[in-house]
Amino acid sequence: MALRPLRHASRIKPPPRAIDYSADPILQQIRALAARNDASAQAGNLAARKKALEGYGYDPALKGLYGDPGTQGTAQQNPFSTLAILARAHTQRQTDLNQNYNKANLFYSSARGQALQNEGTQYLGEQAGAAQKLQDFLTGLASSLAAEQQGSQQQIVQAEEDAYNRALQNSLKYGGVAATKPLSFQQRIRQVARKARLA
Amino acid sequence: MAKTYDPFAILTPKQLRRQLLAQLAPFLSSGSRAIGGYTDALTRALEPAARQTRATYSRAEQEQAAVDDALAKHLSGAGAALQGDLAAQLGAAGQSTDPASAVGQVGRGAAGAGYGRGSASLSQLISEGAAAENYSGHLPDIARLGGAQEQGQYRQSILSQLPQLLKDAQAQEFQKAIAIQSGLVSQAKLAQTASVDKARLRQGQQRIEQGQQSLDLRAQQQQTDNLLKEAGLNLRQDQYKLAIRRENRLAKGKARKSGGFTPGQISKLRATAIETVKDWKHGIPATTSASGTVTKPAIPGKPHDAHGAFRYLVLHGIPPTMADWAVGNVFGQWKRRGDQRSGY
Repeated sequence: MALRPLRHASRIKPPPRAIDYSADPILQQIRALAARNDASAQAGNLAARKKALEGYGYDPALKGLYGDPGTQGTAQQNPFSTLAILARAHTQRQTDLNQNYNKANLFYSSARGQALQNEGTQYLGEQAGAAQKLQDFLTGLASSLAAEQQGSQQQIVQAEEDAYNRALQNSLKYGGVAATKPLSFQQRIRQVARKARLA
Repeated sequence: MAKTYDPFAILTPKQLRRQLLAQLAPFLSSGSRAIGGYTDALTRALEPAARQTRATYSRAEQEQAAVDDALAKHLSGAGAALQGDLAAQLGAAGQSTDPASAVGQVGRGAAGAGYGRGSASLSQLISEGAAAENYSGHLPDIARLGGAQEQGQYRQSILSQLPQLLKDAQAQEFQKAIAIQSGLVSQAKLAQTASVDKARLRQGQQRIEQGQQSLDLRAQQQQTDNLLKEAGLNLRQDQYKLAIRRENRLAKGKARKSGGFTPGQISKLRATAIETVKDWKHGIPATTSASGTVTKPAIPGKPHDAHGAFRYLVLHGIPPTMADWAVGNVFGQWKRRGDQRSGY
């Protein structure tokens, strides 16, 4: 490979020196803390969500919410889930109604039809109430997770600004930043000569 | 040709200002570079904030929508299932299925209501997300504005020192002017010139003295040479050198300079020289003991051998001029040509 003539050396510009404060230890610490808080919030959110769904019970319409087969299976097999308890109560009420109306010889009356309608409405009302509670809970979880993630981000933004201020004040106090303009050939020669003299 | 530096040259306010600004310029430029560089770094660090906020709220919104949709379907499905169940029961009894339809209607209503509630929550999330994203999106601009403000404050803090610096510099220039006016500067120059002249004079004197010493030395050497030549002494080189050295020491001693004979030594040498020449001329009688035995035989005198006396003295460490003096005193006129007695 041919050697580059020395007179061209001054044309080679050094890469511009990056001014960066990302190595600030406090900033690094806060970033790590924020990442940990974020992960912890996500894990907490997922656990609370699973617990709520397992407690609510299984319905094919909710399949998309369970997330994993384990949660779905647990919800399905939970005999004391909200949906299971409501279903048992509904069945019990219908049985009682039919027996009572049968005993009173009113099984074929319109009163039984009305009573069943009322019981059905009650059952739906109970389901709607439970669904509303679940909806509020899950909405709260999603909102709080978003708020926590946003809080972590704000924390990092604040830490970035603090690190910026620290680096800047330090730099202004102790001489700013040296020029990145490359030295001319003559200046380099003089620099080398000066170093040689000092040595 | 480079202009000579004159510390007493008075600078105009304009020149002073230019000089001070030139001194402050490196601080301004390096500080400005630092602020610009760090602000760029902060801006780069804050740029992803809007995207992250968008992602955070998008996830929440998607979850909310999924929950709303699933629960609405769940209630709607529950209503439909119940309607079917009731219709079957009532149909089996040959009754009207209107109650079942009413229950189905309730289920659909409940699903719609739940969906509506969810939509309200979703709308809240969407608006919160939009506001947060908007704020995060402005963070880089805020950082840039802060950097610009910082640049201004820094420049102001540096340049605010200029009036005081200028005032101090002008006061210094004024003092210089007073010094020049009052003649302090001229006197100083005079004093400097006088001291230089004095030093030159001293150097000249030293040179003259050195020349004189050299001349004296040469004269003494010449005198010694003459004496030795007239006395017909043909000394060996080492003897000659010793005689010259003795003569120099005698000359230094007479001039009271260091390295010469002391007055006591000179006096002793003189007495020794006279006594020796006398003994040389008149001889030394024999020394006898108390019993009359001769312990030292008599040395006969040499009343016409002045040269011999001179030679003897020189060879025995008497400086030639002193030897000349002693021989002259004892023998009278002893040299052939004129009166060349030493001025000793």
